[in-house]
Amino acid sequence: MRQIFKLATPYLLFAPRALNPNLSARDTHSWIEIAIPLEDGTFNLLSIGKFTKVFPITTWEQLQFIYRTYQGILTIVDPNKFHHSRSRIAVPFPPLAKDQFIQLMGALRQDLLRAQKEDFVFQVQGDNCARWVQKMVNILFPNLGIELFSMSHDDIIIPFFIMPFIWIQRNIPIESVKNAFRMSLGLFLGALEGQEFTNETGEKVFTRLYDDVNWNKGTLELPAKLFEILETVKQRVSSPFLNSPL
Amino acid sequence: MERIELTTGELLQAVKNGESISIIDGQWERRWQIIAWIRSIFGYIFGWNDTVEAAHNFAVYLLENPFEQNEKSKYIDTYTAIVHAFKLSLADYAITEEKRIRASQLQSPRTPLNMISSELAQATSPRNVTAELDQVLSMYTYLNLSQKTISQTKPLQQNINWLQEELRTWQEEIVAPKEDFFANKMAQSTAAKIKRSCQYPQFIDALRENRTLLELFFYTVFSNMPSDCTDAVDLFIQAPYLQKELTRCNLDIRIKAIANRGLRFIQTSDDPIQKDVQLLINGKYQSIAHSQNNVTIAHNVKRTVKEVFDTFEEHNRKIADLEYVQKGIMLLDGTLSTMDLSSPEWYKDLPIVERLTRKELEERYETNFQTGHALFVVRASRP
Repeated sequence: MRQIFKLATPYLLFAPRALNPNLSARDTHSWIEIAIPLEDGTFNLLSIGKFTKVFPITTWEQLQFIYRTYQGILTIVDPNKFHHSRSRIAVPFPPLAKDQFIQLMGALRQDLLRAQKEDFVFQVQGDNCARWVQKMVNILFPNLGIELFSMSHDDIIIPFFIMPFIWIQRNIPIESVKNAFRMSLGLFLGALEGQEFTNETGEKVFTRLYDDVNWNKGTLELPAKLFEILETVKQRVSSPFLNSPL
Repeated sequence: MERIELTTGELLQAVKNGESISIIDGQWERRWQIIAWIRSIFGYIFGWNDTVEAAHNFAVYLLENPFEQNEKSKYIDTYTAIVHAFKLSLADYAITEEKRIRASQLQSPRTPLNMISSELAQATSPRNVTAELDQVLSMYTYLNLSQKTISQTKPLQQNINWLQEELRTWQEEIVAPKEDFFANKMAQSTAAKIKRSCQYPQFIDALRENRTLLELFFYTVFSNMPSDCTDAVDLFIQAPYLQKELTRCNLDIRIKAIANRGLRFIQTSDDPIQKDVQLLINGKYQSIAHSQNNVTIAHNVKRTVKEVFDTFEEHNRKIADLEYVQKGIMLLDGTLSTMDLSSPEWYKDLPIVERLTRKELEERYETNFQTGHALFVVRASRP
């Protein structure tokens, strides 16, 4: 125990890591756009995003929102399409072949049906809007193996007064202690609370953040991460998205 | 604790600096920093705030103790400045919905702060910025002028140059730092709008004098409205109340994003001159000039204009059941709960959200689209 303390103390006191302020969890979102060909040669541009039914507004709602599980919905007109005062980026993938398109529409229909039956999970740190986008990318390009949003818990900025606890968490040098700390913080703020959802095979499953695989590994999907990835790619390649994704 | 009357200058400075102060019965003091800090933490959760409290108490005190005629000239300027400083910090405070409601309650005409504010305003010149803007805009009688006469007015070249230069500096300061994928599109085709603005010479004179009005004009007309829509200029100058409504419910940015010329400002009759503001709703242009008028949103579905605006404001809270798409405002809940998804080609029955040609798609996403069938794009946003 004393050894742990000896190791931890300098980190806790003197070694805060420099964080990228752009990786803040507040007001960041990710969605997909699909241009569907119409009969007259033009295209219908859908922008599909994953949301909760009611957005958290007050501080108390937002605080609960971080660890709890909610019913999600899909919308075919994502409001973020309109908010030009925010910073936005687009990563177009290579044009889809006919069978790829049908595959995508099949997956989309399944998710829309689940959203209609209120069987669609939304968790901010777990099954969030970015993970859904990643899922769609994986369905279309299974061999790509690209993680667009994945990042460590240690790099995220949460603009609340639980930030000091997150700061302590990320500066604990021993992995097991760090995980135990993260778990206990999560349990305190509602990671055990969940709801029953029907999965693909028709079984009812009690879903909560505590059981989430990525959360237990200490990673999450943050939409703002895509900005950082694109910047590094831009430095490497002069024209990042001509004919090839990223 | 110190009397307000004796230390008005210090109080003004404290309010301007945003310090935590308490005001009780005409006396005020600065809170200890540690107590202010603890209060701010708990206030963040429970939604109370020192400034709100202090502003309220200050206004109540002034209302209950009307100053005498000889005192009036002595304090009135400082008091007006203090009330103004309070109002500014209240505007900063109203970030979340709950706080905005509380702050707007405080700013409604019947609250002490506003009553004292208007009382002070009667005694001195008006200092409320928005009231000033309304006054400026209501000065003109362009509504009685026919649209044809306005179109025939010759714009002065010096006005055009001045407005262009101001717009360029404003864009460099405000718009350019944002890394938006489509930001460069805004810079295009502002010439038509500038020319249209200069056909209102008195309005340009007001812009030259009033910096706040100029920035508001750029923000609403050049940033939030579609770039080729000269009707937005007419709307801002001739019907500012309606422009405010569109901005309140975020309809203006929707009209901008979907390029379907959804908004128009027209003259409906020549004698007497009558004008109308129309919006594309369910494929038809319908009047939105009067908030109690009914508009047809879908077959057999009617709502008043105010209800439509309020529904769009609900988008801040949830995905509401109205959305602005290619055919204008339509009844469209995002999850398509009324649509039948059972057929394999279900996507052919989807409502058209935004209609684009292949060339427009290629330009927008800077991608090569020669071989493909459909396009898939991943998007992300951050503040």
